[in-house]
Amino acid sequence: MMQVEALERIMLVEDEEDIRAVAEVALESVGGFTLKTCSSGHEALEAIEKFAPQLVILDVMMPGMDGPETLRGIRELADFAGTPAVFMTAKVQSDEIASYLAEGAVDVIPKPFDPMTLASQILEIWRSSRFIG
Amino acid sequence: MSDVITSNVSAKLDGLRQRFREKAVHEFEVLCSIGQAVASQTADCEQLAHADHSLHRLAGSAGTFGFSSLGEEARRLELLVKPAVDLCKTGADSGLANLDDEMARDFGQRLQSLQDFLDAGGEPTTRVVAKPPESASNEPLVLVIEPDAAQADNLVSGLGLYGYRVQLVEDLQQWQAGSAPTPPLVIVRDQVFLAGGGRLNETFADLPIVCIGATDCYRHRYALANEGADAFFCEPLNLPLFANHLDNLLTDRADAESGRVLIVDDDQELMEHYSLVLSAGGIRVKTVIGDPGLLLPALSEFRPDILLMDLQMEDISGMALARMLRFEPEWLSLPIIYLSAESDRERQLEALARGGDDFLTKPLSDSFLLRTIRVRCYRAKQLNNLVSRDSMTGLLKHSLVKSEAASEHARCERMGYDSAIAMLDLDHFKRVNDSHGHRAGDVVIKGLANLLRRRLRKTDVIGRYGGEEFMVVLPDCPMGQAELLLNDVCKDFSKIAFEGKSGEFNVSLSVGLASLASYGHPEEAIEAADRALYERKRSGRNGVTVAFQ
Repeated sequence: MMQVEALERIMLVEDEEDIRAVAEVALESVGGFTLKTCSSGHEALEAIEKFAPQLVILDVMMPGMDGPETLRGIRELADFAGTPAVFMTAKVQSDEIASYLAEGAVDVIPKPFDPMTLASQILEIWRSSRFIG
Repeated sequence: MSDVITSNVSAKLDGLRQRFREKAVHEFEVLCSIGQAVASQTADCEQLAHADHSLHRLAGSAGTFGFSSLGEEARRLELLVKPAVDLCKTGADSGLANLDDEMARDFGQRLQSLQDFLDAGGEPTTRVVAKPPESASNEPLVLVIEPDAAQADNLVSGLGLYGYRVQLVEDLQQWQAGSAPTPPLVIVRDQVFLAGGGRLNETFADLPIVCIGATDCYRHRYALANEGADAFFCEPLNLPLFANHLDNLLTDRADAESGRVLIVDDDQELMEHYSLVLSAGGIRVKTVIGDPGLLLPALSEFRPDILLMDLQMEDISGMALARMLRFEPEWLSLPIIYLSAESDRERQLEALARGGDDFLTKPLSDSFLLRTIRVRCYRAKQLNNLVSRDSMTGLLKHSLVKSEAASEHARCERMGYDSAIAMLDLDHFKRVNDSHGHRAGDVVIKGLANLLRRRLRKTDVIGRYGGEEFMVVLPDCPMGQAELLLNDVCKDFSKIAFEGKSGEFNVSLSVGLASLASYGHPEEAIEAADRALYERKRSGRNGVTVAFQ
């Protein structure tokens, strides 16, 4: 039987304070994960080695370094070249989605998200990413 | 325990919702002045860019905080302002060159009216309550509108025994004053409902409304039905039957709202688009490209209600894939719906003859797709329930609950956690049947089924094992917790008063509990739980005994 490593550490990169706070409730209180939030791509790149997340969630549109740029930065680090990454975006046009997937994300979560089901969504993405990859 | 988590989470979310509201009010002041500038055609590019950015953020976040209609309006306005912002990027000094007076005025006014959506959006996330997460309590909240305090007390404590958390108000005004989340079901005194003249229906659109009252005649019933009530119960209430009906209404609703769809297509973009549309509508989606080697594992892992498949993919025929699936008895009854640009009815029929169930012809609109898939998932679940569930209690049948126990045993080994398995048996059930009749006996069995459904998590497995014997599997649940939980179930069940031929009576419950992970084979764990149950029966019934390894 294939072993699926349990998901514990998640990093969230999001510039909006409100969304970071609600994601903390959704992923820590509801989901029981350990969450590290970063307010910018730079902060994420600084913190990633120490926190060693198993999965990274990135807001697409951020001032300065945006989500795709941040992911490219993360991919350059040998330890995180294969870490599953998920984009969050308020856009649902299929061409944009496809381009995010082409950037190497395993999935895209549409905004607004439901704080009560975000954790199970992430867990499902995690499981399927582990099964294929 | 999960109760504490839920209320804790709700409190936190409420706090965040409040904070969002305060910030939004501040944001609206800025947007309002931009709106005025747009309406008078004097908005500059900087203002437009600000509006665009701010609307985009609102579109993405408002819904998360329970202000969905605000989020949707912000999205519409964002799409309106986008061309103007793009025009600015080309170096034009006014982004509004393409906007005529009327459009500019309309857009400006709508920007200034955003605040209204925030006020109207006191409809916080019904979704939070309607769709509890796996880890949270499964207990529903019902709203009771009852002006009489004594009656209300009775109802609250009665429903409490069945695991319903009740929010109580005296009238509609009182409810609207509060900012609690909308509950999934409303129980209302019939007089209040009729006096409201349709206002309740407006306030609780789509929610089941159950009326209670002391008057019972056909004219009264007709009047209630005509006003849009979903059910009527005459007092004195038969609580077990009442709870059973509430349960059916809620389960129906939950079934109608959720669903699992596996999409098979070779157009990655289209698949992602469908997937987003459906998941935004509350449906769980998994996508897989049309590779025969990937499809079966994906099916087994995801277990969808329906399969949505492109008929003609590159190199692969959807029809052949469907037939291949039908080789497996397990997937014989899985509904397969083809997506196709094929509009020739003859060719469609041919495809249906080869293992498909229906056609959706491309192109299809997002809302049509969502509605169709919802209905299909609901039907598929209903059918599946008919074959796999005990008709009296709606619980899993003997063979299915056993196979669930076996797969949970396998999961325990794979994931490295422990799960609990319990056998439950009603005490002296034969006496109930003998002295109160079989109908009373049936009500007792349904009563226990409902209590279990209310008390356990959505992920827990509940089955009717035999006549008055039940089996329960609690995934990822340590023995100590399982024992506490089932002890509570025993206590509450023994307090329920049933009505029989010779007056009210109570029935108690014995439980034998074992740890799935401690046994090499699921059958051994079931036997251990059975022995513990026997032990409990011998040592006085009414309670839980844990299997000794």
